[in-house]
Amino acid sequence: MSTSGSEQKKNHAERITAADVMNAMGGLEGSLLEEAQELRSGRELDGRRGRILKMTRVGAGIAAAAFLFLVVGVAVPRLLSPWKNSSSTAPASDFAGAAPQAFSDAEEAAEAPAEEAAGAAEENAMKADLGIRDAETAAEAENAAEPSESPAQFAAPQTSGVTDGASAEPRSEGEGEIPMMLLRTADGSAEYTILFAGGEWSLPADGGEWMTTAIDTAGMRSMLKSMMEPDSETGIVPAGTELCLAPRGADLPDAAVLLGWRAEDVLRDDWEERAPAAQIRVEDGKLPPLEEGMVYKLVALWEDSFREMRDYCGSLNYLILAK
Amino acid sequence: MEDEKIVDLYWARSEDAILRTKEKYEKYLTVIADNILSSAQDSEECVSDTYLRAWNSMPENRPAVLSSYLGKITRHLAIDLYRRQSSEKRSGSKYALALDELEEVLGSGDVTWEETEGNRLTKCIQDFLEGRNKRNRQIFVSRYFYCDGIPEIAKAAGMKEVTVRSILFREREELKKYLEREGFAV
Repeated sequence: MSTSGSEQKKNHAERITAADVMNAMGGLEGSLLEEAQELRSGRELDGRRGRILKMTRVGAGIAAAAFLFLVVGVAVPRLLSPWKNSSSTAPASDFAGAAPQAFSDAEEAAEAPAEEAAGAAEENAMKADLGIRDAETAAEAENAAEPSESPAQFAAPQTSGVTDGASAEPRSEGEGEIPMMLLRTADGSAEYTILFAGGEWSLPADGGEWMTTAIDTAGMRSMLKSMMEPDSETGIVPAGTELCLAPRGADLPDAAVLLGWRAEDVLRDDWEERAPAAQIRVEDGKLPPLEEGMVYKLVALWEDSFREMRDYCGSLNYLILAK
Repeated sequence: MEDEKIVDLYWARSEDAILRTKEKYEKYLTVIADNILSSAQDSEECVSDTYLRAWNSMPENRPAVLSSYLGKITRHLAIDLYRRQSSEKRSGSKYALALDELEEVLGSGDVTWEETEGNRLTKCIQDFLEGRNKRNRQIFVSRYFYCDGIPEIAKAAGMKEVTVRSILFREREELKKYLEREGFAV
């Protein structure tokens, strides 16, 4: 028995495709397109809009921080002064200690002006989710911290590079979260995004809290695929770049091994079962030039501080995408 | 010139209509076409066809927002041309990249839906987008309607590229769930 063409098409059409969605997007109402055009028109200003927004945020942040400093640093201690000499459970010294933290939190929370608050909060949450630090934040951290060889201090840049533990929520596998960390080149001149993959992991965060997260392979592959976009300039390690495996001045590992797969292979379900196309041994603490179009996975490290890091990270693996 | 006056020119069958449209919207339309076709020559041809299509359609239609009306025509023409091109010629197309991203959560292959069914799908996507926050909606439409590149969107939004990628990733996942809830097989 044969079916007509339209019936066949109808049956086939039960499952929609990406092309169907792209096609259907062409029928969106003008109001949505206009709204998007608002955003797009910012591009024609050659980035000025972004800079103005940033400046506005910084200005508002300073004003809000100054206000909160007055409230927390001056008004609150004065209001609490009657308890100073009593056996109260809230001595002034406690508040004095809390003030810098409150100041810091308030400054961060008040970074955006009122009309941008929702968007900024969302962006901050996203940054926290992704574990991405602003370049400025990273630079500040760089300046503030002293290089250290101790395992405990080595963990600090990892923590700050991942997220603020206080705001981190445990996430379940399959949500498509992409844990990342910024990694610097050996000379500190550039930062690159490293994707974390390989199951659950946790790190002690500031304040003794713990963060747990996970990544699903499909999410990682999707991210890799989009990172291979030809016009993308960031987040991808250029071929020939020498990477320092230790962020922020920590000692380099004595030795390490990276396995490399072709980026297109990594997009397959069975990529880890496929034979790696390359194997790189790190003998002097620095990665040799990476080959274009490869994704590298750090599979072994030999050095005390790094062993400590591996203990923290559990089954965490590092994927470095070389364009 | 204001859009309303340009539309009046179309309705009056004045050839100035095309001239004014070109003056005001050529760059905007060229970006849309070039994002899809990645070829200056093809994009130019596509934009020229847009003027002609607008000229032929305008007496019946009176678009409230001329930019959206023209943008839809250009997008439609460009995608039509893209589908007729060889895979070699498609390389570098941001439309292809956007399509690849959607294929991560939806099926791959050609358009399978009839126009009436497509309208239902459009309505569903419209409803989904209206339920999202404005910034995410803008980013989603920029990527999957206008086919803008991630770096351009990130620059316009004042965000890092990874943030934009992550927003898009989540929105695609949410769209998939929404379509499933609405009875679509994905």
